[in-house]
Amino acid sequence: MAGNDVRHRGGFRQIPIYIGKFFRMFIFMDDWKVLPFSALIAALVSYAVGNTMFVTMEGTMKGSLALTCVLIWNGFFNSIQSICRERNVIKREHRSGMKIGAYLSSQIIYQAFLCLMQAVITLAVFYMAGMKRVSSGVVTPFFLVDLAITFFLISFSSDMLALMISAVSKTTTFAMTVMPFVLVFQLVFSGGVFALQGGASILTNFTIAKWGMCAICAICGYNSLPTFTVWNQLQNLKGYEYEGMYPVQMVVDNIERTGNVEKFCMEIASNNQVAQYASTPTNVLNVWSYLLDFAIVFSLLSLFFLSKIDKDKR
Amino acid sequence: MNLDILQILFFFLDTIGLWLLFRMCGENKWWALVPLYRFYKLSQCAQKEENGRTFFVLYFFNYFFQIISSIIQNFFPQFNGMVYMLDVLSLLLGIGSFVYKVRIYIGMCDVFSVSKKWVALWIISTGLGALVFALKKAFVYTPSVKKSAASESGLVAQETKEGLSINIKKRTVGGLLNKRNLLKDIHLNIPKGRMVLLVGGSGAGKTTFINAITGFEKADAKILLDGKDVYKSFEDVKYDIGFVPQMDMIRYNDNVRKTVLDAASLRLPISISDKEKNEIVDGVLDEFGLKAVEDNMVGKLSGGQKKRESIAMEFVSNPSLFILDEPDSGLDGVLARELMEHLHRISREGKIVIVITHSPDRVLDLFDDVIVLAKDADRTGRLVFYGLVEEAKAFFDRDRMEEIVKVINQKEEGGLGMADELIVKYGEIRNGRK
Repeated sequence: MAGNDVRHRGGFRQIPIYIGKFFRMFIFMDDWKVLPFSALIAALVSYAVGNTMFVTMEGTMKGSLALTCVLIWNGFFNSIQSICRERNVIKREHRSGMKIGAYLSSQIIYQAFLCLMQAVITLAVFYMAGMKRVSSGVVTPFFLVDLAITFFLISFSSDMLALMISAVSKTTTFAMTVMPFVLVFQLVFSGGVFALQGGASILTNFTIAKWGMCAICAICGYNSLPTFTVWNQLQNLKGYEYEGMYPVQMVVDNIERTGNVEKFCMEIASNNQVAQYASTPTNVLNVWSYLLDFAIVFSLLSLFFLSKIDKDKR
Repeated sequence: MNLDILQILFFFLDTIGLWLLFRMCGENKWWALVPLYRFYKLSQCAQKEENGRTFFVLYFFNYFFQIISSIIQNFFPQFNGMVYMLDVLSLLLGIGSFVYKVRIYIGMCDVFSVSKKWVALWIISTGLGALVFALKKAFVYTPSVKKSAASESGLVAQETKEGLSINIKKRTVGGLLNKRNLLKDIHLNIPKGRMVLLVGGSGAGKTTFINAITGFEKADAKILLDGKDVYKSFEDVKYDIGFVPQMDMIRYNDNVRKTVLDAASLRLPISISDKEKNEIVDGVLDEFGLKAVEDNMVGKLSGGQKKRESIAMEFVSNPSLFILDEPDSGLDGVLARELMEHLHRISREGKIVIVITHSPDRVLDLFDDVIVLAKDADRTGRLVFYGLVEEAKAFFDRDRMEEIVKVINQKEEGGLGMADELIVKYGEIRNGRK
């Protein structure tokens, strides 16, 4: 019989057991499939976004929103069922000495691995699709490294949010029902789909999508890109007649004749700059820290909710 | 203004109606004056107390959000954006509380044995419904009759240094509004080396009893395993308790050997080397006939093999108290017998083996003792009998355990409803012995 002097494996020593278990499942069961799926979805989105990403303001805004969506989607799908599908097993093991902290730490490490892999895959796919590369990074000397860190943080913080939902959910059905609502919230309140005002704009600060977009736009130098929206509108209005004259056409022709199209577009763009997209190391580091904060808060909440597992009703 | 007058009129109508109705169903009529809480009381009249509790909570929060919304509109107009959110929340809660209110009204029709069409009247106005039900002579309040539950035995099991000593005063759940006894007055000693059958109808509290004695869900109780207080020393004692749950709570996407090995890593002391641990796992896999499939995925095993895998996970730490919740479910007669024989051999190694099974008669000869639990009239799990299998047969005057369960089950469950009198009889016999 176990006596007081008999020591059992503590939480820290239990972590390798569960990491081993999760990686066995990754290799031998279906868990590895999240990686090719992330490549597939990245390929589809890169095809839809086209090659204007990181070239114009509009293309970058559209592309960063699409990229953020892909990464949030990846993170959600990695972990949304990971706890609730084995809730009964966790409960049993908890009663046999498993520490919830150890289990959750192993999950977090495993999920971080998945997110890192997916971030690299997504980056590779976009790179292969002809995404424009900025010459240098904002925080690190390398643009791709900055982008990879951002991708990882977006994916990981979303993963932790889904892990928290999984820790709260008693069944996989419940988790899968809640997930679309959270996803819609992330996208609608990202501020990227349409401009939000008043109280709703405050809510954007609580979305991973907003800060994800901020980081991507800051790293790719959004504020230094031209915008062609006004120029394209002017082209469409060239036929506008006023008192027998075509004022818009005159302006457009004049800009083209003097070779100032790009200068014009840059001047228009200078009015559309967004302070939160500033390409400074401080800004990017701040945004990264927000994403990391989300991940930490969601992890702690997961721990809190999962530690109540013994109170589950039959 | 007209709306306010209408609301006041409805309030008085509700008060008068519920006043008369509460008088009829034996509730304190003054509760009719207390807004909101009177609906909870109405649910008690309708024998829909659980629905009443949920309604109470939903309606309370609905009111709460409405008040907050009103405060914001009147005093903090700068936060008007939140009002919309609060109104949506209030609407959601309103829908929920309406559904629960309808359930209470349906219960009302049931206890008055009238057509459910009357629910429509209640929906139009609770006061009107209550007035009609209270005043119409043809409507008679006929709630299902509650028998009084058996009184407590006053027994206490002697605390022992060896074996399992169980003294459960009660195990309750719920809070202020919904406190309920799940178990009460269970006192017994199980010596080492016994194979014990635990039987009872569904809802008799078998799993709650198991959770209480293993310390997984604490009761108002004192449980001693080999002299150690299970509750006070749970962190130490839990490794000495093996509990095999009813469902196969195992990861199907891991292999057989690794699953048992990981279980051993969690349960065995760290002083045991990896080599020793592997030897123990080899021995356990061999003993439970899993050696040949040790590299297979758990999900690919047959039902019997999965069950043995689940038992092996607990057995690996060599616990002195071994509890199995329906280990034979899903197994055919031959496999179930083999499994029980195996458990019988384990008990002969000086361990206490407690088994819950719904098919006890085919393996009854393997058990030494039997614990019989039943729901009393208050729907609380009570001890009806504990003793030798042969003594149980004599006590209940039945040869088969399944017949015994039928005797103690309540009448509405198809049983004979004799639980309460048998609880008293058992208490008297034990007190007499003392």
